[in-house]
Amino acid sequence: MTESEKLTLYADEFTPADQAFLAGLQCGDEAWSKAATEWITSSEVLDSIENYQTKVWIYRSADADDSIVGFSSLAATGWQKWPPPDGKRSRLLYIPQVGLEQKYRGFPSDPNWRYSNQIMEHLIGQAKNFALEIREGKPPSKHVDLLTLKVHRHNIAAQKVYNRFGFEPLDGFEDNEHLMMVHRLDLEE
Amino acid sequence: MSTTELNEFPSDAFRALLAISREQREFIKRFMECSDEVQSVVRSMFAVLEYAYSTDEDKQRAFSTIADALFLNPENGHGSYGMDLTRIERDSAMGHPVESRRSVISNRLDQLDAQETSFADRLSKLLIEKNITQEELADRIGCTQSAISKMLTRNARPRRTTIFKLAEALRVEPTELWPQLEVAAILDSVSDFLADRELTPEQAKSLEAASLRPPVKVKTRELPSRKRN
Repeated sequence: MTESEKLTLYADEFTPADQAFLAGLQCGDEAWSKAATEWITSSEVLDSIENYQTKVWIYRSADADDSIVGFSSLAATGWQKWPPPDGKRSRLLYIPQVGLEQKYRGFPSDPNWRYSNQIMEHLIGQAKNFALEIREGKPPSKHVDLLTLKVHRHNIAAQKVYNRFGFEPLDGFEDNEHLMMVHRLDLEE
Repeated sequence: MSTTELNEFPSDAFRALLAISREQREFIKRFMECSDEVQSVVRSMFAVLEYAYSTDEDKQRAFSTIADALFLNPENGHGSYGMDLTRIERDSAMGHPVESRRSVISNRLDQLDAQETSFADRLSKLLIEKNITQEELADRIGCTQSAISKMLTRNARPRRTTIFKLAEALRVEPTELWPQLEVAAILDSVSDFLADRELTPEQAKSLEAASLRPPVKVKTRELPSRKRN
């Protein structure tokens, strides 16, 4: 196995059977990290898949121990309607949760192989594929190219990572705990 | 009720009333004692329980709300009013149509039970530390002493608003009573965003501005799948 093969993550689509292997996952001690762990290990993830057709990936390291490095998820929101009551209906792409096993934070040190970067690059790639699937055969008014996520106000490290991947604050959607961020997907490549 | 109205009362409804158990009558009595507003909430919670597409989380919240509203599950064990909500929760978990989900729901219920125990212990300790009686606390948050007692004996699961009221009354952070409160709030906030909604003018304007921004050029990557190999 070459060095790059060793460092490349495997991305597997999540199935409920994976929860047995996720029992030991710990994304960290902060409230937002606990929420990420809770989401993927409880019925929250299953409800999200069932109710919103959320796509979820589990990332495993290519090492022999095959340990779980993290997970990501992607969904389309419900209809966002404006102006009420009969305004245009549009949807957004949305990342409900992303999680990285605590012990893999900042690992490996090479940014090209850093697990958090691999996960984000894979997730944005999947979001583009999803947006292209949605737009197929539909008029431009139905196209979706905004990818959104919620990030905890105090999770500065995550905000910096998202910022590096082109996410910017989206005003008007904040709540007590979260800021909203948006990334306009480049679908013309 | 006038005599005329009494004549119009359907006899099958009366027979149904006679057929129900003492516990069920007690349950109805408690429901009838509630204000119209509370009754309306309880009715809508039963609709959630009966709705085929309600999630387990929705059902759990509905159970808690009904228990909270009608002060069910008194101190001396469950079921005195004919409604053992804990058992119903367990039955609902075990009866889930998808077998693989039963253990997940069951684990979740265990987790909630553990959280309730920890909450009751913390509340009890704070009452002793601050030298506050159950009656005084009930007065401060506007409920009955019986409701406080039910929380302390783990016979009622507190709603989030109740935890906030208790924390304010005891002058502590809500997370001191229920450490997982913040986690639950985060999960709710994250999943709420997926639902249909009407945007506010500010949100619509903000999205319009975002859709006019230039697309972001960032590196993406395909990753191999072990399941496909």
